[in-house]
Amino acid sequence: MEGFIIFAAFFILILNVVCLYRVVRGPNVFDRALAVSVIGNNTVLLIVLVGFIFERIDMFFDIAVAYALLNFMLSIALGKYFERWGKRSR
Amino acid sequence: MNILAAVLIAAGLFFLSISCFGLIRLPDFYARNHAAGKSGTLAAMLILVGLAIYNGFDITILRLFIILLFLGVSSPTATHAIARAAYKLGLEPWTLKNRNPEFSHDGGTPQDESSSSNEALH
Repeated sequence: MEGFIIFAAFFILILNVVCLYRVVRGPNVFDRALAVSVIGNNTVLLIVLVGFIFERIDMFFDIAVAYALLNFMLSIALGKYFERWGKRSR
Repeated sequence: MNILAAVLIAAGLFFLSISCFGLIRLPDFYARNHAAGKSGTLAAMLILVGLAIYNGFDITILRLFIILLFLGVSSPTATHAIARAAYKLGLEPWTLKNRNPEFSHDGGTPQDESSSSNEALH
């Protein structure tokens, strides 16, 4: 079971690298924001899995909660910013 | 119990890979948003429930449940906020007649506008 959790962590890491393609080659800025949001969600799961691997679950859960809050705030702030100021910058 | 947890985590990894390949392969921003939002949320819930079953009954289950609730609320909200901003700015969806969707608000194509204005969004 320990080896399977390590495999799951490496699988999520590879999926994050695959998602970086959409960040680099996104046709517009919303694709990039969406890909960054997906990478953030995957990274929260990755942090929880790393906490199970190192058996320091109490510490890594606080990091995961803080990272999820930051990721959520980033997406909401980007959406509100482009909804309000995007027409002016076009 | 470990087998059930492994099956749940494997299902979560499957849905995560569906989310990422949908993000790469689908033709349009709204289609990518659809793939990423729903499949990613389901994958997060499956992986966290699998880890809770693997952990056993403990105080750790409460923390996992907090992360699960927060991800289940925040991930659809974030994708909805980004999609709403894109719709308000006039990003056209991909259709069979419009294979290359662009920003067309107020009837003007992006080629008609000034060249410096498109650099901020592309």
